[in-house]
Amino acid sequence: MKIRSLFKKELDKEESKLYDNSAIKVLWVGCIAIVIALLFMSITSMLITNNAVVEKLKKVDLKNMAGSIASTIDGRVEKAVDASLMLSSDPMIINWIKSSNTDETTGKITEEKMREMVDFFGYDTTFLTSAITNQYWSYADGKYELLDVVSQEDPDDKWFFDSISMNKRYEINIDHNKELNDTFVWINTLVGDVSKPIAVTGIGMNLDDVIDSLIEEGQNELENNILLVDRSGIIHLSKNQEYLGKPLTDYLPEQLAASIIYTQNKASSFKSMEYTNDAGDLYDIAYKTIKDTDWKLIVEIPRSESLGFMRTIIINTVLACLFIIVLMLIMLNLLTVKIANPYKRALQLNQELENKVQERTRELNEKNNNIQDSIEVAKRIQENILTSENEMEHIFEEYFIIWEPRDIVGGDFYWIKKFNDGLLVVVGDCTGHGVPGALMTTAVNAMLNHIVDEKCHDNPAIILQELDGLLRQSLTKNDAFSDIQDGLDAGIVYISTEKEILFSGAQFSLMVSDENGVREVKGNRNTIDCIARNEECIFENLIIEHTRDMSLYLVTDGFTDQPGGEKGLPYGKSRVLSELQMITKMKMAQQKEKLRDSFREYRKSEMIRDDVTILGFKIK
Amino acid sequence: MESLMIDKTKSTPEINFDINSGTLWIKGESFPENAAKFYTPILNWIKEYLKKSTSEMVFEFEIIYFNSSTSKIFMTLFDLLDDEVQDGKKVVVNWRCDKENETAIECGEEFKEDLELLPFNILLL
Repeated sequence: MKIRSLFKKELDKEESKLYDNSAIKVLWVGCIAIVIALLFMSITSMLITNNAVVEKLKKVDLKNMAGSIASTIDGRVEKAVDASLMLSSDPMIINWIKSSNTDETTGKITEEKMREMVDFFGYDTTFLTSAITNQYWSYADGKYELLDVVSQEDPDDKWFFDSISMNKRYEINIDHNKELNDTFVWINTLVGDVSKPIAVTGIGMNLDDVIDSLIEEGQNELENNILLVDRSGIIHLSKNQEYLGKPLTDYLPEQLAASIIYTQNKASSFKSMEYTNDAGDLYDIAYKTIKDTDWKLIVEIPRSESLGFMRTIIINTVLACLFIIVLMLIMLNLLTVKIANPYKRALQLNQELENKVQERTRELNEKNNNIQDSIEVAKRIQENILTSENEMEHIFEEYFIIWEPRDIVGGDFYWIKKFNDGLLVVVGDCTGHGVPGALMTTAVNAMLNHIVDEKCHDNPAIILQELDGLLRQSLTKNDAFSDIQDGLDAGIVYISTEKEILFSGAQFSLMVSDENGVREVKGNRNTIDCIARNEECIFENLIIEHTRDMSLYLVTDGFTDQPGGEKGLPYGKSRVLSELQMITKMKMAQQKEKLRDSFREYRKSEMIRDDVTILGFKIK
Repeated sequence: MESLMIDKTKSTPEINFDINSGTLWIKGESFPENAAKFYTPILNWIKEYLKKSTSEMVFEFEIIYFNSSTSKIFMTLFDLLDDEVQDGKKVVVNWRCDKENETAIECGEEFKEDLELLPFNILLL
């Protein structure tokens, strides 16, 4: 039992291994394949999307964004230019300048106009500097005052004298005030003839507000940066305070910075480029010159920022992969519980059954061997009961005996005994074969010994009768089947020393071969059975006439009734007689072989139905 | 009562008793290890049937080979049927055998000799 359970455990291991190797492997391979396919798809679509987005970003989005920023700035500047031109061409103002700033009426109107520019149009400062009086009038923060009288000696006033001689209607200056941290756009407009101006007037506008509002707007969308750079490459405006006042080359690759600063592209067209900073981040950049200036507006967007939605794709892909793996695990579990387990169970059951069968087979083999052994022993016992060949050689001058139980032991027997006055030969066929038949033969053997010792040995009919009586006494006890009784057929021959031959048969014939040929001498029809008939069985003695060299044969029905031939019919008595007729002149040993051959040839593949016994002997 | 049907085996004959026609067929070979065990239920069935039925019964025997214990059982059956005929029942036995099967023919003749009233026909095929 221990060994079996151990074996079973081994087996379980085997089976789970088997299960692991197939189902789980397949599942994992499927799982991995799907994940790989998904990754491939995601990466491909990401690359395609990425390329498309970058392309669009560079060609459209970035330019649109920079364009809108620039146009805002340009618009403001243009408006400021318009306003300045309006101031410079105002006749009242011209008159006031021409009056050397003395005419009170025009002076009042000029003040009004300048105040209007700041208070109504939202510019930070208006100014008017006369070339006649060199007076520098300014309106800012609600104050209208004469700020200064410009002089050629004062370097601060250099701008005025530059403007006077600039020989064009207006000029835009962008000026960064470090102390105030302000960036101002100054529109300087000449009053009067461009070649001979009488004054410079204009508007000052703080650009920080514009850019701040742009930056604020932009903050909602992207992590961009807007830079304003002057002609020397110094950054004047930036979302990032650190950048202010620093050269552009600090933040951009030198070559790129140089190309931005020195490019004299048209104000309307943007250029876009990309670069990677020291930290390895990729940036897209667009730049243009601000209208009528040599300042550059630069818009910069980190690629990672503009491609931020790509992260969503990656996250989704990862989530999908995880989802698939979880799904696979659930399927694996289902497979284990719903599909693999019954299969495993079936295998187990099968193995259990096989074990049982093996166990039973072993037990059966053991039992069979035991039975076989005991039957082998029984066969020895039965052979010992039968008259030995040695004895028979002494008794008969010439004889043969065929004794072939269908199974190892059988119900057929022969019993031969020599007396002083004669020879008694008995051949019998007890009902049944195998062990029951053999048991009967031992009983009959004992009875025969008893009868010949106690009753008589020279009268076959009486011996049969005695046998019948004894069997009836011993075998009718405790029989459940009152209708069906055991018994035997037997033929008994007594040959006296004077060669008187007596035969008596219970359902048994004697085959006699003499000079007249071979004939059957039938015994009595009734068999020795134990059917409780009222009348006693009567057996008769038949006298067989002795002739020289005659042979007698006692044949059991196992031989005569054996089916065979074309139709599967019994061998038959006439075939026995004709066979004997052919061989009777031969030596007894040869006759034995002939009879066996004939039997074998006749039965062919038919199974042997019964025990077979033939005793043949010669009487001189 | 239900009809009696037993399929043939290697060592036992086919038994087929159709109660509608009142015919019992016993066909094949008969050499069971334990003839008593095989035939007792059949004999009991026949006895039961004979008690209940009044119509004519035909026994058709077509046995190629049978052993001596079977032969004793057949004799018991024929004795039983003989008694039934004596009591007025109509019973016929047809002993069918191949004309070359002298063993069967001889046995049939011996059975017939022992019977008093039971009609026992030996039919050679």
